[in-house]
Amino acid sequence: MSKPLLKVQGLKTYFFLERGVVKAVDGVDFEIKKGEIFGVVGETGCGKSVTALSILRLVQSPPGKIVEGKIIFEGENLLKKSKERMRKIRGTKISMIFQDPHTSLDPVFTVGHQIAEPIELHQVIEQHLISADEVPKKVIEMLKLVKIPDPEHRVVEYPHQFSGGMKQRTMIAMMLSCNPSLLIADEPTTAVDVTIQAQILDLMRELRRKLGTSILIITHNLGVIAEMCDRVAVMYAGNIVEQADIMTLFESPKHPYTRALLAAVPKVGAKKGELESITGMVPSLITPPPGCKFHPRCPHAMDICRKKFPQMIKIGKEHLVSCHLYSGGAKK
Amino acid sequence: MLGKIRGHLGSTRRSPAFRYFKRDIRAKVGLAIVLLVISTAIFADFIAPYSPTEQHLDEAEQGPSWKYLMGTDWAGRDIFSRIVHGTRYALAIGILFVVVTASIGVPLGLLAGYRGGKTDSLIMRMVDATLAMPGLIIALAFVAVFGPGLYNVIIALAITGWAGYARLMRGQALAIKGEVYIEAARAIGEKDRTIVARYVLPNSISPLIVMVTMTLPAAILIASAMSYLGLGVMPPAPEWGAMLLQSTRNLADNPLKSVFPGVAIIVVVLGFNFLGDALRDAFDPRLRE
Amino acid sequence: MYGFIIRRLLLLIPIMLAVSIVVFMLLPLTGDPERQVLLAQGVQDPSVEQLEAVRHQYGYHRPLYIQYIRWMTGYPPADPNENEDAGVMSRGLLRGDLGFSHKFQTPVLDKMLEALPNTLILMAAAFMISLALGLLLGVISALRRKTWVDYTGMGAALFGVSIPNYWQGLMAILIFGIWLGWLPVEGYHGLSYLILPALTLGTAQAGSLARMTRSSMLDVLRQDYIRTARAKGLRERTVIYTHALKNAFIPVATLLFLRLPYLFGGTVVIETVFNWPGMGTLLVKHGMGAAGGMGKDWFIVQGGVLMFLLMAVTANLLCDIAYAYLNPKIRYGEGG
Repeated sequence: MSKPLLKVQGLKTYFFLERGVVKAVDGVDFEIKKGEIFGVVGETGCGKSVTALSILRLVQSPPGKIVEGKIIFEGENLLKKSKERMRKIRGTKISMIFQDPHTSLDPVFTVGHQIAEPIELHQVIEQHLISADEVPKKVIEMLKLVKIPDPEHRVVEYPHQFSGGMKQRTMIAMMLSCNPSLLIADEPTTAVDVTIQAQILDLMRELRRKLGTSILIITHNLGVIAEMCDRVAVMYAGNIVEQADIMTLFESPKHPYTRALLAAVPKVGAKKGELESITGMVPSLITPPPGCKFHPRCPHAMDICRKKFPQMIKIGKEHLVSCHLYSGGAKK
Repeated sequence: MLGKIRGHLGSTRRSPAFRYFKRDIRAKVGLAIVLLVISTAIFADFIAPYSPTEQHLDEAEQGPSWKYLMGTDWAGRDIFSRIVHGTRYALAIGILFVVVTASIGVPLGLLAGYRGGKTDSLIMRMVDATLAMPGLIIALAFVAVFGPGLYNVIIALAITGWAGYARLMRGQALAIKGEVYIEAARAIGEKDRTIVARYVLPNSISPLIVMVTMTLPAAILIASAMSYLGLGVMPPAPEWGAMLLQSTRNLADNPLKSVFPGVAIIVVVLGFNFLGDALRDAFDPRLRE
Repeated sequence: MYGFIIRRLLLLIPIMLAVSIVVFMLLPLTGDPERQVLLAQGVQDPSVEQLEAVRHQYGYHRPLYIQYIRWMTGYPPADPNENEDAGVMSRGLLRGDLGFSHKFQTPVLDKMLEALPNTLILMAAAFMISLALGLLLGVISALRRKTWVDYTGMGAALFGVSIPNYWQGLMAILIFGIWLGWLPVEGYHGLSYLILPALTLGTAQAGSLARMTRSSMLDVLRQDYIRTARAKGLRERTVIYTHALKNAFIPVATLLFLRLPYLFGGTVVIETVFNWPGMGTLLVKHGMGAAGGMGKDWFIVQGGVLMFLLMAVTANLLCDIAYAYLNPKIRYGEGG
């Protein structure tokens, strides 16, 4: 694979609340290559969604703010761009679909109108790629692409007339209408039925193949990761703790958190009572534990883990881990 | 289990709503004004230098002076004393209105929400129709038929005023009815009336308080308008609207006489509205971030 | 949609019936309708004979339900054997007869139709002012949330809801009419007469409208579909003025119509303050004999109350239809 499409470096996104500063994303590095499906996995509140929103600079502000870091997309730092330049990137170069398709579509506009909006604005008005007359045709094309049956008629319907799966496919159509090179999918299957989940994931894989779009999938579901991703990063309390290609991660996880996460997945054929859970609680993001944030829950915690934040170290070709167990300085 | 629920209800002092409320500047200002008004009403006889109806005909229509802080009206009555005693009318109207409307609306709303079915649709038809009616006009017609006076004004406003409480409590009852602890209470065989009195009502206290602090000043405003029209509390009672009715006959000659009662109304109503806004925001977790 | 409107219209029948009964009962509830009629004619101390004559003349000796049916339909017609007078008796509400005003010596309906346009003009002007001011203030405050713009706007709005409407009118009269002499303050003899009453009534309504708009707008701005619109790269003004505003306006529109009864009440008060020749002045001053009016005229009271109640019912109906129209979930499909 070629050079990275997106490179996130030292990203820190904090929320400044009256109770204190929530360090939702506290120094995150990763990169996504062209045509790749990259996954970010972690528990609720680990900062994975905020990371995704930070890339598009859509973090609610106030109280949220990107305080540090670089987001290099196609060689340019998105954090240095003007608001207007950034707006033009959204929907055209990078777009995003969200967790809940039921609330993510505007209830008072037709599906067709909502898909047409970005096409009209970006491709007709801003880029003069197509003429205004071609927009309806393009809208129906997009609906066909995401396999909405009878698109000519359904295009004038309102979101509430669509099923959950169709809504999410509409979201995908809307977000892919201007051929973005990166699609961010934030928990794309969490709010739809299990049977629909597979359809949505199949569709995204197929579109990657057809259009060559890179996809960043944010999820708490390791099943989705296993099914979709080329590479994956595991997040915990605002940091990436381990990053690897998919085979390596599932076959030889290194970080104790990753191991615990994998162990918590119920296995077919497991005996009753073998379902494991991670002991302890998700740490506060306002006053996180010193040193490694996972140490209070870690079965292998050592003295150094309480004092020093573990640096990310490379232990394989695509395999990075942030844990004192693997850094040379630590004694077993 | 049930004891635990009750313990839960008792912990409101430490709740985030209470903390939020305590920090809200509007709450402080509102509370200060309301307390001031209440103590003025209680100690009116000590604060006011004259009786509110005592006439000094040879000193009529005077401007403010050390003797008459806000001047005198056409009959030489001390306006300051009348304003002070007016707090009693304002509070009496507000409190009576709330008590009467709530004691009609709350049970009806609870009944509608808790029973559901035909009872619900019948009561809610009535509520919807009542809410669609212009309350002031109906109140004016009532007073025109049955004559003016404090109590008639309260009854007149209550004709339409109960509906808001009924709608609120119906929503509350509907929401709480589905909670697990209500089903638990029913499962252990508690009577409907007991359940409503012990669980549904206490859990609706916060929206009810907000409703009270919002309807009370509204009642003061409307009642004063009725008095101003001559279809409410009648002069020489030191009611602010009634005072304005008399003072505006010579608005141009002695404008201050018309300013003071108006300002008094604004202060009282603003105080309750501050309090109401602060309470509403404190109880609404979405606004608290 | 049409099914919904028809159902809604059918629901009007019992409401109209209730309204007519309430309005009819106004006079019998006074206890001695014949004395009230004579008072309106200027007879202060009627003799027993006079009372008895009027009782029969107007048919007040009949049972109430006969009187009601007669008041509504004109049937059964006046019976000369009972000394009932067809000349003073209403030909029936359903035929557009609201009775005869002794004060003005004209049918009440004529008086009403004279006053109604003036009231509608005042209300329409006030409504426009409140809509423009309220929406603007509400939207701006929501967009500039927790800044001085928001605090000032909402402070003004709260002040607007806390100020007695009629007192605001009095102060406007004092300042702009008497001291500055810029604007006329009494009656209606041209457009300049409209300014002060409309502004007074409009600003009062604007306060609550601004508060509703702000909270509705804040609600909508938190919604996922607003984030979607931004993620599509739409211009901020499209996000706000197309997506957010249209959604925020649905609950506001409902509340706007639901608050029309308050506008009617406000109109009655403000008309009286500015002696505006509309329904409110007619009702309060000439009908109820308050605010400087001399004596009551119950047929005007009945007519005026009826007119306002009918307007309220109509407004409520329009509200439901407008809500259904704005909200696609009701316009199409199951709901409603």
